[in-house]
Amino acid sequence: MSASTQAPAQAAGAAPPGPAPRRRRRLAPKTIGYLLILPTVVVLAGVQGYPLVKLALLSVQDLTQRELFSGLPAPFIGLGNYAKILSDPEFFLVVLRTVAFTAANVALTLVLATVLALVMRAASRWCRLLLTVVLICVWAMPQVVSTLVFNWLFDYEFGVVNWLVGRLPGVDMNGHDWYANTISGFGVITMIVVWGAIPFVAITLYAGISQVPKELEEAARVDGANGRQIFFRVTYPILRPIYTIVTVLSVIWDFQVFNQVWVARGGRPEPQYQILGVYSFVRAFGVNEYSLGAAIAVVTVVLLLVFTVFYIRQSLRQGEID
Amino acid sequence: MTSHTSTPPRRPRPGGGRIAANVVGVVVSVLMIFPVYWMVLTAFKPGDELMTYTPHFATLHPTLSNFSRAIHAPHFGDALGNSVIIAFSTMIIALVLALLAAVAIARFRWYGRRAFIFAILVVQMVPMSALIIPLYLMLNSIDQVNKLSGVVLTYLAFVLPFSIWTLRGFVAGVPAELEEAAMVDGCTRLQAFFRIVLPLVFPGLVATSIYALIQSWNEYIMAYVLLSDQQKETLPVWLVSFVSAHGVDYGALMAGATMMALPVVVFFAIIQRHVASGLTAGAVKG
Amino acid sequence: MKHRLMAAAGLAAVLLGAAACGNGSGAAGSTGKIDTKGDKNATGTLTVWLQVDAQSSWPNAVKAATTSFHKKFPKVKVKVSYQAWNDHLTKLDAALTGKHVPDVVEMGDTETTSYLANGAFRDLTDSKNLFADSANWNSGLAASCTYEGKVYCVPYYSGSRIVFYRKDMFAKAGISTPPKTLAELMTDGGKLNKKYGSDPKFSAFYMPGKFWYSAMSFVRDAGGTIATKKGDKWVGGLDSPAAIKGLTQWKALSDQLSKASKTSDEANPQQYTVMAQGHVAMMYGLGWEGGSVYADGNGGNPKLKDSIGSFAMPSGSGKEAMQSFAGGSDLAITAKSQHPDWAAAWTAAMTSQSNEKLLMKAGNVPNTTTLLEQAKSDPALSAAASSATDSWMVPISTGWPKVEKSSILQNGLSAIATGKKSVADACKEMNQQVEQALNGS
Repeated sequence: MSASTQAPAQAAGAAPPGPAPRRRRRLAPKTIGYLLILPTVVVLAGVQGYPLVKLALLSVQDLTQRELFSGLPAPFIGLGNYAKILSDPEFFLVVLRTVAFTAANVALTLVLATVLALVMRAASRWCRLLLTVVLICVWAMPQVVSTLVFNWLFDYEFGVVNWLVGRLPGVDMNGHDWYANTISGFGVITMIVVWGAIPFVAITLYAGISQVPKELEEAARVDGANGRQIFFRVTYPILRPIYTIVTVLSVIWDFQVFNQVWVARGGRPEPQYQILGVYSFVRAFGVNEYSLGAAIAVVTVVLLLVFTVFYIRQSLRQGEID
Repeated sequence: MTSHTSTPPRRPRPGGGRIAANVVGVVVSVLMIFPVYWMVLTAFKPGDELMTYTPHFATLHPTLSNFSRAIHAPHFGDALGNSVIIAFSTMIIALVLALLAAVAIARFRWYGRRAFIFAILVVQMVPMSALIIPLYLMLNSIDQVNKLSGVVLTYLAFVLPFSIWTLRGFVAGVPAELEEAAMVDGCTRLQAFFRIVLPLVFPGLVATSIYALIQSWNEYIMAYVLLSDQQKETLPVWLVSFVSAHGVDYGALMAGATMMALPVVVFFAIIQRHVASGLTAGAVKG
Repeated sequence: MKHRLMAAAGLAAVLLGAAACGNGSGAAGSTGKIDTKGDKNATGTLTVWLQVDAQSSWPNAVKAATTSFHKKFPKVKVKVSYQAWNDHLTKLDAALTGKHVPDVVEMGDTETTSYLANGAFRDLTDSKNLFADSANWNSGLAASCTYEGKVYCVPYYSGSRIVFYRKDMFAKAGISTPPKTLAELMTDGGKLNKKYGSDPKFSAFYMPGKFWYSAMSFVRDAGGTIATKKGDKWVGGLDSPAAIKGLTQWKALSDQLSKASKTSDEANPQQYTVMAQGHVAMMYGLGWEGGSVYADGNGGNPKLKDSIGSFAMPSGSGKEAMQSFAGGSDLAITAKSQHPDWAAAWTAAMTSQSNEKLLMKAGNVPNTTTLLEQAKSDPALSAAASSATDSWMVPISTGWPKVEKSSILQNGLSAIATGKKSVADACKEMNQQVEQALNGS
């Protein structure tokens, strides 16, 4: 940037250093802090605060379409919606499935994205450029279309993957249905989700890695550390805050995956493909049970808090978010 | 890209590592780009090669008819304009607000800081499907339904938390001593921020801006619900019109999607250059 | 539904707060008499939400309706916007809470019930005569507009499924005339299998395992039903001997004649794209699907242009034809519409006889039996018309969306098709789940 050209002029502007008496009092740091977050607080409180309160209220009411269309008040039913969810034996299965699904997706995303970010750093300039362009193209592909294309790739009739695998000697993939088996079905869904999630995480991590002074890694290398040691002892500690946020965000997103499953199963997910996002749609939003949906949303938030609080607390302890 | 002047310890251990990295990079690129390639390829395929039992991995008869069908579909121009307005406004406003808030968190001590950090995290956890109706009611009450500004406001709320978190990490990563040193040299706090912190935070700003841009460029459901006039629809909403109960117009859909992805890639190509110079300006000379 | 209007109504009102930002009189405006005579000086905008199909397949009908509407209200602007099937109800729900309410909305005929029951639409019982030939509305569609004896919407169009077949393949397998009974169809399928069976992808009749519209037609053909209302409770019919017989026939067809996936439905992939590949001799599809097999640009195969024929799906119990599901759409006027007169006039124009004929040309079944009878004499439409004379409808219950959203039928049928469960077991299970959903748990 042009920092160097501006420097002299402005240094001159601030010329008389000592003598001139302070014209006005400096704002207290506290006040500056409040001023800086004010616009954000206005937007978030306005756009999300009210709907969140509304959501919490909804979860203890029985709002049907009648109230929605007429504007009549919805009856208060206390914790009825919560009781309904928590007494549904399937709900716990769904949560377990979702937790496993999230864990697998987040872990895969983070590992692969880290590898990619490191590769980008180590690779030649042209290769780095190639990778960034690929990542951006993947990221920029509209989700409506990417899920459709993946569906196409794994289609049992027109599937490009079936055709390719079928080329192997002795393999008959004619009409192979990847979703007939739950494990291979979730494998494909995980692939779609991770593929879509990698660009964001890899680019963010790479941005972070490029902030790590190369000298630090060089010094470690001179001290005889190998690549793995350098990453875990030097790079990772510096990147920790960024890992915290991408991990937390990935958990939040993967926990609520809906579209990929919905489209992959043609809008009719079988019971074994019900994860939380699908479950809440089938039980609540798809059938206009808004209050039940609100209660499921609140439970989702609580579950996510449980999962993330451990992580956040660790960050707090290490002084990242002090 | 030309500002690489200071490169003394350029390749301490040349050869092996870099070649391996390049190989991995190319393999991963090919694998990851395939769905994108398939989209672009389909956009250029003639009708009889679209869906076949033996897939066509390239076409000898490229055609522009899919593109022409997509461009001439109703409201392409409107949708493009609306998407540009919405996505870029969201991105710019989000960057400014998030940077301010990130500095507030990383550099100042104030009561309620932790609560604030925690709050913006919790906000992200609420499933979108549950928020649609409450959000609509809220925007309706402040007369922001069926307006582009209402959509921008909504997107801001969705991209701000991540932007703040990310930028906070980057601002915190700049040692406060650097700033203090600059202030000892006579810079005001603001000058120190612009000259020392901003260049070092640049990669974070780039990552954040891409995030904000892509999120608001590709978002579908809120735009669909909030904007009822067809003249006000955004590109993702426009794109879905190729999927009807009477089948999917794959050619036009893929052509539309290709055209839709293009501006994002171009935007990135432009700021990509600044990332490089931003990096060297900050890290090497700082 | 548990409407416990408890003594805590006051508390509820406080809790709800700003939610009551509607005018609280959703029903108040919906009582006046509708008058479509016209007003040369009326100005304003009429907002119409149609589904995207009208934009892609019959824009001429929309144009004609608006032109004819303008003869009555020349100064009123008509704004038509097109909705995607996937999320249009979410958008409608949101819009109905606020100020930007569309005046006319298209609804899928399996989607209407909860909207009729909850006061979203204007009561048109006394205004039926404003709409063309309303005494002879298609029974399936009319049922989807009726709730507790009152009419809340206007039948728009329906669909009917018929068999599309490869004339060339039939000829090569030595079949001269299309089958007239289900038994004949199975025999012909056997002949086709013999001729083309060496092709591992060949299906004499393409029948995916989750194609519930077809399976339920077999149930209906054998004399069964999904459910019927007795008193104020729904009683399931899927475990009846008739239903089991129908599904056994369906499974036989699926087992013997189809290589389609047992775990997919007719839309993923679109079955016409499969037929376009040339390894399918018959499929059970909607009117427009036949043309799509050889259309250019959507996965069709133009080379098949002259080899696709159609016939009505033959009955397994001696009827004229197996009756199709009446999948279609209705047009409704929202209760909150400020201009019900305009809305009714436009709806009447859109569903006029001349307009319905335009819809027929686009492959749809018209909204009245009068037109249906006329269609029977048109060779291009006769198969569709005879499959729709007594077409069936899903149970008109607010619980039905739950049956669809939780894919009860699809999953049960898939279990039958794959052989994971016996027909009788799967029927019992589906029946129990359907009853539970319809009666609310």
